[in-house]
Amino acid sequence: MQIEKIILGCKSGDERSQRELVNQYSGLLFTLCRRYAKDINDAKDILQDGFIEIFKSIKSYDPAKGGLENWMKQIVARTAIRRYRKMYMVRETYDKKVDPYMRYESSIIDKMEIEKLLEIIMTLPFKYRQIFNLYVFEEYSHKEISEMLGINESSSRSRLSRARQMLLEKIKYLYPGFKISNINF
Amino acid sequence: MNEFEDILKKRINQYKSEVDPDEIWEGIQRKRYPQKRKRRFLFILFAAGILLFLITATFVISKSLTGDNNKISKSDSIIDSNQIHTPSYIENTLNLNKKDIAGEIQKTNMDIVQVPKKTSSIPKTDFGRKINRLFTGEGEHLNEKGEIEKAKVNKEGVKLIEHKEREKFVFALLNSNISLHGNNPKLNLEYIPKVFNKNNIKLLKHEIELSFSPLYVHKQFLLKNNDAADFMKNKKGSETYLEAFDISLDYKLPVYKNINVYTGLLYGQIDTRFDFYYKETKEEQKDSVLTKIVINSIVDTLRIYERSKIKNYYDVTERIYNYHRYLRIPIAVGYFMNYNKLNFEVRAGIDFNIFTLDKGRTITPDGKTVMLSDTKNNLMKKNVFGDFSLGLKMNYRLNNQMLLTIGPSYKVSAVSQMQKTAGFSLYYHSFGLKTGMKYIFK
Repeated sequence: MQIEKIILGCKSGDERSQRELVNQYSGLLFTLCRRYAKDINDAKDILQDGFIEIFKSIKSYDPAKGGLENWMKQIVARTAIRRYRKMYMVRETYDKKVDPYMRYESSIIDKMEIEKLLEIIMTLPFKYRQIFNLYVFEEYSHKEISEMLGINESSSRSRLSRARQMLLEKIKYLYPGFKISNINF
Repeated sequence: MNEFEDILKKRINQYKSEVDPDEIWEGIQRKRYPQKRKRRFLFILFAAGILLFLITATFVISKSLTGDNNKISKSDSIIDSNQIHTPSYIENTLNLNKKDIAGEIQKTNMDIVQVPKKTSSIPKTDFGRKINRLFTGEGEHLNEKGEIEKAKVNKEGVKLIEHKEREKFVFALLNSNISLHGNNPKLNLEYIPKVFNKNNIKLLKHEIELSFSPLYVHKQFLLKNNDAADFMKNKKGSETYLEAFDISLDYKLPVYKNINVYTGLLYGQIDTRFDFYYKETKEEQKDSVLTKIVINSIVDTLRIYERSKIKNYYDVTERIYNYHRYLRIPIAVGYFMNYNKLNFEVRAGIDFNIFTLDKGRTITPDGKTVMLSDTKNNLMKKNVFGDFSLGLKMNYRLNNQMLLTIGPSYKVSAVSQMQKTAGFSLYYHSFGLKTGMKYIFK
C-alpha cells in the first residue's frame, strides 16, 4: 500500500491502513523506543502507546510541513518522555570537571555494529540517556529539554556532558584503539 | 553536536530494529479496546454453552429415537451369522471408529497441537529465510539448558538470541465430538516433547500423545441402510455404548522424510500403523496467507482389542478378548489455508478395509465367541468395506495459548459384506460436528 493511501486511510480511521502503518514503521520507531526504554518490553509498550498517539493525531498531520517519519518520531519520543517524566525531577549540579569540547575519533563509529551502539547507549544511566537522546537524536536545545523534563538548563548541559563521558569510556573499553583528542573551539 | 554524534545519529536513526508488527498491533488493539476482552470472554462462554447444548441435545434426541429397543435378548434372531460384524460395527464397539482415526491423521499432519506464537511465521527478508533454513522448524533450537532459543541475525551480522521456555504440555480443555456417526465427549491431555539432535537442531518431532477420557459415550445413528435394515430391524436406528473410563497412549516416530510410524495403546487395544504424506506448500507472504495441499494415507495392519460390554443391546456383560488382522488404506487429500488467526482445512478422503478372515476371533450378536477361521461359521463372505468422507475443520486462535476448533463432516459408507448379492450396499450416511477448545501450557 502506498504511503499516501495509508495516511488517508489512517485519517479516516481505517484499521487496515493503521495496521499497514504499524507494519512499515515498527522497526524504525522501535529503535527510537529502545533508546529511551529501560528494557525491551518497556520499549514495546512505548511503541504501542506511541502508535495510539499517532492514530489520534494523524488528522492534524500536514505533509507540506514535514515528512511523516520525523513527525511520528517526535510523537513517539514525546510519549517516551511523558512516561518517565517523574524520573527527571532530580536536582543535579553542574560537573565542572567534564570537558565539553572533547573531540572524538568519529571513524570508529562507522565500523561499529549498530546493535552494539544501541546496546551501549542503553547501558547509560537513565537520566543521562534521555538527555543524550533528546539532544543528539531529536535535536532539541537545552532550553527545550529543560522545559520538557521540568529541569533547569544547567542540569541538561551537565547530564549531556556526563552522558558523553560515559559513552566514550564504554567505547574505549570495547575498542582500546579509540582515540580522544582535545581541541579548542 | 560533534562529528562523532552526527554519525552516530545518522546510523541509528536509519536503523530498523527487529520487532514483530503483529505483536505491536495486538498490544495497540488491547489498549484501545479493552472491552474486547470482555466480549471475548462472552464469546467463549457462549461457545461453551452451545457445546453443552449440543451434548445434551444429542442425549435427548437419542433417547427419543431409541425408546426401549436398546436391548435385544439372546433369543432374538437378528441376522444370519454371515452378515454380522461389519468393520464399522467392530470399530464402534471399540470406540475407535474411522472418525477418530481421521482425527489422528489431521492431528499429525496439521500440527494442531501447536499453536504458533505469531500469525506470520514466515521471515520477511531473504536473510531471515536463510537463517530459518539452518534449523528445522523456523530458526529454533535447544540450548544446553533445555530452553528453546531462536537465533536471529540482524543486518549488521549480529546474532541475537531470544530465549523461551520449551513447549511442554498441551492440554485440551474440552474436545467434544457430536456427530450422528459417533458421539464422544472427551478430555484430552497431550504431551508433545521436542526432539533435538546432538547439534541442537530440531528433528521432525517425535510425538507422544496421552489421551484421557473420564466419560466416553459412543452413539451411532443409522440414517439410511439397505440390506443392513434386516440387521437393525429391531432397533430404531442407534447403538449406545458407555465406557466409564478410557485412556490411550500414542507414539509417533518419523522414520524417513514424510513417513511416520505410529504405535498406540488404547484401553484394551494395541494398534500399529504407518503413514506417509506429501505436502506441497505455496506460501503467500501478503496478509499472512499460507496454503498447502496435503495428501496422506495410513496403512493399518493389526488390531488387538478387548470388548467390554457395560451397556449394549446384547444384554451380555462379559469381557471377551478379540483380535483380527486387516489391511486398511485410507487416502485423504486436504487443502489447508492459514490466514492470520484463522486456519482451516477442507479434506476429502476414501477409506478401504480389506479383512483377512483366516485369522482372528470375534463375538456374534448373540454373545457367542467364534473363530474367524472356523469355516462352519461361514462369516463374512465378502470382506471389503469402503468409506467416503468430506470434512471441513477450522481453528481460530484466540491468543497464543488458546485455540477454538470446529469441524463439520459428512460420511457415506458402503460395504460388501451386507450385500446378499455381488457389489456394495450403502450402509449409512452420516453427519458430524466436532467442536473443541484447546489450552496450551508453555
